[in-house]
Amino acid sequence: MRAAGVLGLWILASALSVAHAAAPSPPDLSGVWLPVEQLATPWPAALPLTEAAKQRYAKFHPDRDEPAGFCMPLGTPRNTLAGTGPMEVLQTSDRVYFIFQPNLLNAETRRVYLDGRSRAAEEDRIPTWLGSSRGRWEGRTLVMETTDLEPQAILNAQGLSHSGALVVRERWQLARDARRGEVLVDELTLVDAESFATPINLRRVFVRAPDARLDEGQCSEGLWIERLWRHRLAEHAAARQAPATTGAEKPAGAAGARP
Amino acid sequence: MNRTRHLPALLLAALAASGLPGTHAWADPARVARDMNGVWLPDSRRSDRAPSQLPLRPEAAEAQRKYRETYGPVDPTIDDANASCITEPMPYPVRLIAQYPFEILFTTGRMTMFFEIYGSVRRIPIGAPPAVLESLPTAMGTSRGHWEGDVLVVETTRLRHEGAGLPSGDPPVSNSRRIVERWSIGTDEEGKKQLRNDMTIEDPVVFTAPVSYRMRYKWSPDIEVGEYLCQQDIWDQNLQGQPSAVPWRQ
Repeated sequence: MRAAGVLGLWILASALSVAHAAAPSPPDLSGVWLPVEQLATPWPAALPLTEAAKQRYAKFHPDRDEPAGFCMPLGTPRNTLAGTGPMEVLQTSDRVYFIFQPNLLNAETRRVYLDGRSRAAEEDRIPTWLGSSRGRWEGRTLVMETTDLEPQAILNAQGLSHSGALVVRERWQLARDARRGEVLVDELTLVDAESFATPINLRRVFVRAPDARLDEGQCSEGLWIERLWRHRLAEHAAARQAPATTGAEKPAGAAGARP
Repeated sequence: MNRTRHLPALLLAALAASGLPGTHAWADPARVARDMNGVWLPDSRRSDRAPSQLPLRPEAAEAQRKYRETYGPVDPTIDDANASCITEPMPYPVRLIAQYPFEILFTTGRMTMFFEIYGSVRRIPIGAPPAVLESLPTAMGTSRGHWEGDVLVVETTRLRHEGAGLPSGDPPVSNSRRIVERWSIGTDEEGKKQLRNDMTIEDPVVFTAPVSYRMRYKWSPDIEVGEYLCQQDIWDQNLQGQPSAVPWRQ
């Protein structure tokens, strides 16, 4: 009797383990990763630009048109493509978050929902710099799509732009590199008929960096220290030398804007 | 059936259910973490305001007075660090009662907080040993958490001074500042899910006694934490070909 019970349990356990094998659990992408520049594919030498995109590209001036120069976000997919700093991945069963915190830039968190939630209705969609992402596991590959991207963002430092219709398709998976061990590979496809005659395919590769730290960046800190703080201290010092001028009549300005 | 034979197994099961042997028999941190996951909005009606009088040490009060006398009057258009998009350090983002949401996400050994205000990311390792490397002071500081029953106790140190409202004459922040938060889940008097943070700020160089806040947050599953584009106005003015009226931004 007891032997039959044990056998029954063994059969049940085997059946469960077979069922488990049929639906492999997704790999764990959690952790801090660093981009490997040498393994990234470059932008195509001949970009398949439409006439509208060509004109925008020709007019780009980095001092005037680079959003990051004004502490605006890199935006998606530039945050993933740029390769300028560590990326942290947080993963649960229903979502994957990619946190980018490049040196001296503000943090950008890409939230990718895997729970099958629907996208907002067309009339409720608002373009954002990070876009709206949905994903799913296909075996051991994280397949995701990002839409509703802000067309003021650019794709690289050369000023390659996109329209609001850009769709970023990505396939993330773990792989092995002979020299670097485990790597995380992102195959990206940028689809934007308004800007590109054919989709652009790019690959980015990240290596595990458990000791890398994502420190707080403060984009405006350099401006604050250099242009504001020191100048203001000098102004105050000068004002003490000539006490006739006071700042009492200065406008209240941004006081109400303080959050 | 021999009950005594099963006693050790029953005891083990009871211990496992209690989380930690010997303490908090009904504690279930995993459930609490699941309940904390998600988006929260400050419940301004049920949260404490900053005390009108902080228990300043005489030296700190004097430093504050001297600062105002030396650098005043304050011009908030250019003297306010926050108007210049410098993140105000902890505890500001959890003490805020304006309707800026934040999101909590628990992953293995970690609670991460995503604040809409300034887009800050706060990382709180749970049950981890103290960091070996000494990090520079930051706006979010260096945090460590541990569970005491169903309460997540978070200790934060290494907070940076800049942006802590100094130009507007707020009390100084010392290197000894330590914030202890006790995060828990409850319900408000209407029976709605509530996140609670009972927080104490210790700064023996500045305060004669700890300063405590009782903060409450509303469960807000229908909203997402938005993008905080602090510099949007400057960028917009640039796109419109109009340089900013604020001198350092031109």
